[in-house]
Amino acid sequence: MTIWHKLERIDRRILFVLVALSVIWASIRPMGLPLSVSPYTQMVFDQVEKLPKDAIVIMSPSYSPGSEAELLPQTQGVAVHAMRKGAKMLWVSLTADAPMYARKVMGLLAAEFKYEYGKDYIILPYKANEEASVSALGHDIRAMYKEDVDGKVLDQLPLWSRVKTIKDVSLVLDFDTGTTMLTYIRLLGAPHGVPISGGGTGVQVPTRAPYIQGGQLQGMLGGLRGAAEYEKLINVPGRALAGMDAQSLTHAVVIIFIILGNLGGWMIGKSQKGGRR
Amino acid sequence: MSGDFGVWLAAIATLAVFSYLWKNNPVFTLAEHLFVALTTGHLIVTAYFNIKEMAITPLIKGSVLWIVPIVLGILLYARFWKNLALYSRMPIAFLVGVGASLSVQGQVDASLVRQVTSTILPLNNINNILVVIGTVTSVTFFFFTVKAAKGPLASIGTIGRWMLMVAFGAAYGNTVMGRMSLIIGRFGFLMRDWLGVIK
Repeated sequence: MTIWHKLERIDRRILFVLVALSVIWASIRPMGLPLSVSPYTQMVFDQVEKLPKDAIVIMSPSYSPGSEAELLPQTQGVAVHAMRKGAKMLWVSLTADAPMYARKVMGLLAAEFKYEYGKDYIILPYKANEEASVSALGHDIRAMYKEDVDGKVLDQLPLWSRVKTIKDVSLVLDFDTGTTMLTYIRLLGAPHGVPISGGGTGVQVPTRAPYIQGGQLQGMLGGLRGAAEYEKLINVPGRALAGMDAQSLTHAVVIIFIILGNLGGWMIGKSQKGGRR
Repeated sequence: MSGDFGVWLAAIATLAVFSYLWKNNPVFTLAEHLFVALTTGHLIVTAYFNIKEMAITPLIKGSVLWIVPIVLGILLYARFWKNLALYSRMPIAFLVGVGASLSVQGQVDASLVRQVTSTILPLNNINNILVVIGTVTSVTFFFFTVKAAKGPLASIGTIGRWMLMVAFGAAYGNTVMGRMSLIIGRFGFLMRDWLGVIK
């Protein structure tokens, strides 16, 4: 077996170990590699930045623990920014796990920003069927919700008295792994003119880009990197920014192995008759 | 190091799942079965409380209309009895009808008109030129009405294929980035919440 054969057939476990060591090394000894802010992240930041004081925004954490590593830092970063701007938040739940994340984020931040439940934010209960729920949000938000997530009558909460129709909402910030952002675009953005923004997993960025291009989506945070860029913009270094060195280092490891594997395959092909295996 | 039993349990489960990367083993199998069982249990509990809070409680409080979705929901199970299976089609028809009507709403504007208009751009910068060329050539690649093995249509289609390759490459890159983020998230949990070696 030549060195090229060895390169082509590197044991995948070596790659796993090196990726693990890269993550551990970068986490213990951060290198502070430079991070540029993408235009899509800047767009999300600008949308939140231009919110007037006391504007009402919908926060929609539409994910589950499987994608928490990417989307929770995004939700936290954007929530911090919105709270700095004094925005009032309606936490809408289109997934069964959403109330848990709403509670988690507000549990971490409400005291710091002196946000009072009912006055500055409300957590709305989970409603099944995202299509029907988002459509109902647009048609008659007050008819859709009568009680909050804990069964409190919404009419007794001061913030709810400001919500008459969806037109009272200045911005929808959705963080999703599936289709909720597209549902918001289709059923709130297009018919009611409510700006839609937020974030998603890295995998979703290419599929959402046409909607940003079309002006239907006001930017998007892509994965952990998007969250890190946002943390940089709001100057609150958090877990996402801390994870960027690890991300860069693991990417470098993967790229090196892709090059080595391809080099091996290419050299073997070259050495064989006809240049192809 | 954490003194929280839940954190220890999560850390051991994480390591058990990671052990598969070395090779399949009984610890991984145990973790896999536990995961499936816990997920099923979680879903059942969530579904139970959703039905209870969203339908049964309002019904008991006097909102009699909730009897309609409850009956429709029960009818879904009629398919398990041959002589009653017909009735399961009623809730399915309702679900499909409502789903289709809601999906159509805004679809034409959001997914067709706005998408087409956003590609009609002045060719005054490199981005716009790339968007127009990319759209036209990619759509041409899927033009099957005329057989175009040779000639200009085939060349345009080839460019379109390259454009698609670039798009798939970007999607793959983002997928790798996403998966790495998950690993970083798990390692972050192990090192921060469990071992306490990083802040």
